[in-house]
Amino acid sequence: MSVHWAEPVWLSLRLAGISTVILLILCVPLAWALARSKSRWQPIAEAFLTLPLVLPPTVLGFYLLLLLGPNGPFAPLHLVFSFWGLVVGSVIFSLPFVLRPIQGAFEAIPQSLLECAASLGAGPWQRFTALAIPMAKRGIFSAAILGFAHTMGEFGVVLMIGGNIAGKTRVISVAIFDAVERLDYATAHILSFGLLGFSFLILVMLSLLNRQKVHR
Amino acid sequence: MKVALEQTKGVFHLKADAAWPDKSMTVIAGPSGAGKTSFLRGLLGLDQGRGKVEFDNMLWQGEGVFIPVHQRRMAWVSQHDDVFSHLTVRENLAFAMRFAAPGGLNMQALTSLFMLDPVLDQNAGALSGGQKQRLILARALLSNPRLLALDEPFGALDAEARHDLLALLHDYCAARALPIVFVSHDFETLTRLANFMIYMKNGQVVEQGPLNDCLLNPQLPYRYREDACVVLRASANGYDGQGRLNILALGDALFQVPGAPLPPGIKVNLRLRAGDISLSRSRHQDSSVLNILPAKIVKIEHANTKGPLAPGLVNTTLDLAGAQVLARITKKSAQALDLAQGDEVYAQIKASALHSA
Repeated sequence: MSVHWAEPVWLSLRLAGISTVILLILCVPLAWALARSKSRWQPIAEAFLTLPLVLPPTVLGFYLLLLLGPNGPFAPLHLVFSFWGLVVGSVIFSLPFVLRPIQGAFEAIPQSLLECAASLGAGPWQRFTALAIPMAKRGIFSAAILGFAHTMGEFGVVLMIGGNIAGKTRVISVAIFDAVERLDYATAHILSFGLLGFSFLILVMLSLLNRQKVHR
Repeated sequence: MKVALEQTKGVFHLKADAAWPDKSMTVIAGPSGAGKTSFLRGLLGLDQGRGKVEFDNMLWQGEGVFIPVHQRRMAWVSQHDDVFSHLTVRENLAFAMRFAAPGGLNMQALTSLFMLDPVLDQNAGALSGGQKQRLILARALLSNPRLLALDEPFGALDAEARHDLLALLHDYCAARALPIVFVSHDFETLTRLANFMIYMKNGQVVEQGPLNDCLLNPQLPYRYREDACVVLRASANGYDGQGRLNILALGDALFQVPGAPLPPGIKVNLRLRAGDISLSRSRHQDSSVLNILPAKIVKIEHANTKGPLAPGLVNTTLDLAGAQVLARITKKSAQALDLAQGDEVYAQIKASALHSA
């Protein structure tokens, strides 16, 4: 009985954890580039990277399936119906949720402060690492929480490219769907209520974090 | 420094050429909207326009060259309170030292000079306005720059705090021959800090020259101001211990200025306000005025419809020991004394009205 819900929970946690780490590594430099860019292509890049925010997950999942599937350009990687395929999907799906808060935090750093640092002799890399990242750490932290929570709850993309393989791709949301189909309401209850509580806790944490920011 | 810049920002067009001695303290002055800050940002490389910038035998910009800001060793102090608010005062200063060119700068000497010792471990974001300004200046100097660049320095400070900080900065930079280039609207700031002026209007440099020439230039507004003044370089030439007066020499004229003794031979700025100078035909023996010096009238300007000089007043330009000095007197007195160009007179300058800085 316990295995029914423990396995998807563990899988979801692993997926969310790994995806969040990858997302942070990707999004911190990307957000910095977007925040600093004066290029006329910047709005287009920004729109493209925000697409997952508005697209139905099934649309995203469908294109990913085509790209990663047996006839797609990434077929040799064997990502479809695998855990690492889910990671790829989650990273793309949650990207705007991580990118946006970090970019916002970087944009909140006054331009004059960065100019001042440059005049003191700090080069672009040093301004990024010694100034921008520490000043945006709150934004980066909330982005990580948001990305983690969002990945925990994803469903559409996972179902499209991962299917429903126990221990490999059956994450919480898929397990709930599966349990309901089998009329196993007990498991569905445990998982749903767990995710509900978890999500609520995350949002409380985020708002506490934001409140601290205002008070300082 | 040689600068020729051209830049268009929306409807504003900057096309400015100027040159000034590398080691000078240069003010960029002019009315609002003249493009002073744009010019300064352009020559510092904070904005990239077309043109050429040369400083201290280095090409900063031009002929396919553009040295990035962080390699220019130019410390920039903007109008914003640019403290790193996530760091303590000490960490702010350490940040500048991390990238500073070697030059034996001592953090402790600067923190005590700028009165930052009591707040060293405080968060920089929690400082008062005056403390932030002192931190920003100390941090800029700790980066061991070749040039200090300021945009409207100390605008947010009250008169007394501004005065003290100006004197501190002036003495520090003068002692180390560290050049300054700054933008300022404030007449006191520019007369206390600058010795060279670039005057801008509508995106162009219209006048440039040594400060005193500009303060006297009839094309510029300064000589018509209510608080018009000239700034002369005098050297300390003795001390009257009983009267607590410094004797300052300007050519063969000697001024007596109250204050603590200055080291003999040191050069100081002597600010003479036009309103503090009166004229007489003979040398009064029974006056409380200490400084009575022979001078020759070079020019008499009456208030006219064009000039901003208040009606009833007269601007007289004097030759005093070879230097040009302004005296502001009433039209009535000028007529009573029958003053004319070329007349020999005595300039009476109240010693309490002298400023040496």
